[in-house]
Amino acid sequence: MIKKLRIKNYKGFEDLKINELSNINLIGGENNIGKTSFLEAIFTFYDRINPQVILKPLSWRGIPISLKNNTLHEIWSPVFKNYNIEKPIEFQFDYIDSVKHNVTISIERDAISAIDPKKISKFDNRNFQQENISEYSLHVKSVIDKEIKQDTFLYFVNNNISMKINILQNKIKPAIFVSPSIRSAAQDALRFSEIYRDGLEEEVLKALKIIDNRIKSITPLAISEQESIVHVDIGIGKKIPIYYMGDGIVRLLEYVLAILSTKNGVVLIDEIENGLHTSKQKDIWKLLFTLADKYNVQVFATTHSKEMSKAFVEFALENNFAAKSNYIELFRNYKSKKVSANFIDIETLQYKILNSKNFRGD
Amino acid sequence: MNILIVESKNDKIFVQALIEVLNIKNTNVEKILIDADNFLFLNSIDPNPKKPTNLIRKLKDVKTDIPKKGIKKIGILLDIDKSRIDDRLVLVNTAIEQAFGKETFNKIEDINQTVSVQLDDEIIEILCYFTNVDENGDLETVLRKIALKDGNYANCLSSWRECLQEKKIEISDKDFDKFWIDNYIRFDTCSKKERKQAERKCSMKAFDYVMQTKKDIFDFSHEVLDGLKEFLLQFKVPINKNK
Repeated sequence: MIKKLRIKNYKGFEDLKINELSNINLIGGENNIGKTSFLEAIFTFYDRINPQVILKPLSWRGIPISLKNNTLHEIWSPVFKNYNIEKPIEFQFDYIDSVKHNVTISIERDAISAIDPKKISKFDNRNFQQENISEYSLHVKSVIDKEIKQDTFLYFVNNNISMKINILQNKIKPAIFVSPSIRSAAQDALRFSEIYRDGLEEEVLKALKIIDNRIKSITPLAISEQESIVHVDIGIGKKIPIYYMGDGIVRLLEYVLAILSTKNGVVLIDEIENGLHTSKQKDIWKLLFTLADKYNVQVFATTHSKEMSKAFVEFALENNFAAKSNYIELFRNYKSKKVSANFIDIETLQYKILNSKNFRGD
Repeated sequence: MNILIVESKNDKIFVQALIEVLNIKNTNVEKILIDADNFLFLNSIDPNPKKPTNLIRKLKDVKTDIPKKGIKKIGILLDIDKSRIDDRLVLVNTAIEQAFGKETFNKIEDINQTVSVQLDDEIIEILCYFTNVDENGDLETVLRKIALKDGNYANCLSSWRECLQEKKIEISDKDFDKFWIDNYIRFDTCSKKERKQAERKCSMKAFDYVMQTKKDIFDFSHEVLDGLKEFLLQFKVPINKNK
């Protein structure tokens, strides 16, 4: 579990330090303070061996990634603070077992010179002309307790991304990002299929019944040769795609699938309250706390909602989960105007809510 | 920005009146500045000085506002009641330690002593004072001591107290002081015109009205206020520099 983290030069964060993290972390703050970016930063940390690192979160925001109109390194520059590629992005994550993990991401010029064909990654098995290699490359370096675990360069060859590997660690904890603006029925079906294979479908069924107790079963069903979709039986004589039901139940499905698919990993949930009625919020927190605890998953969730925060506090205090939960308030420092973070323990958060105090960066 | 934690609304009203008096007397260069919104109410003190839950909660709440609002100084103003200064200091230091962390400050050794607390890149000053008359009592005890007008109605309460004592009924000093002030304000210093609206103009429930319109019923130069004045003078800021 990440206990402490520091993010430097990533998007709006010049130097964001959070010294207290817990199993379930709820993040609040005003619009545009960087709540989603915070989740994307953590995701990027865990996605670092992926050639699509950085590009994936950008695409989630609906930004088309086009090599035609940009100089190649500009593809990556939006995630650097103020688009300044001179300053590397740094992640410093300290884990509960005292392991210290640093990752730096920088854009380097002329880092890829002569390419040794033996060092071409499995992601790139095409022939290429050396003169078509991009001038700039994305250097990702990962150090755990002073030992280099990853030293890779992403670069473009004939407008296709390739990776040069000096060192590459293969085992990274899984991380899944869940957002109301990203929906993939195919991915849900794939995740559910794996969960079904592992005999854990009852966990999913139990979860969905929180919102609709008519649901009798869940199954992934093929809709074409290539694609499956999660279907549910609500007792109308045929199984229906879950996506024909309310948004809240689909979101809940996504949360449960994410947790069950990232045992011992990290789940990042943006705008957790989206689609969820206030009357169900405490039960949903109960579900998330219980599953995260059972499968050793660390959860980071953002919210705008006072009701969702209140339900979070009430559940945590009533069920002895206070020590396993935290609230992080993102705000701008009055002097430096930098985005900063307040750690607020559950009892203090309860005090603030009961006394109508500010806790959402306002 | 300065924050003052007090026990109740009447403490705030009295402190604001005293600040007004002090600022009039002070030079034009500096004035005591504690905005009305920056008074926080404790409502009650936990009886166990080693477990001051209310004050801890209040300080933890204030702590999150420090980097948002630029809080520089926090004052803690409590009644001493029947405690000793040492016990109150244990309560304050325990609360500061629980809210800010043990490593971040040196303990407060005495009233009106300022200590610095490190919070990331910010340094905050904290100090405390305990309202008292001869190391005893609360706001009403002080008000009784500084009452300036003839308190005939209020003073006759002593006979009432003696009468009760003969019948073996005890009234605590705290309650007696409250009755005394109630009567002083309700009868001794309430004009004929005001008596028609006694609840709104001549009671401790209307203490804000009393402090705004009838400050002269109290002696703000009384020496019993010297310690409190010394405490409040530590919240001076240069004029034209609000925070």
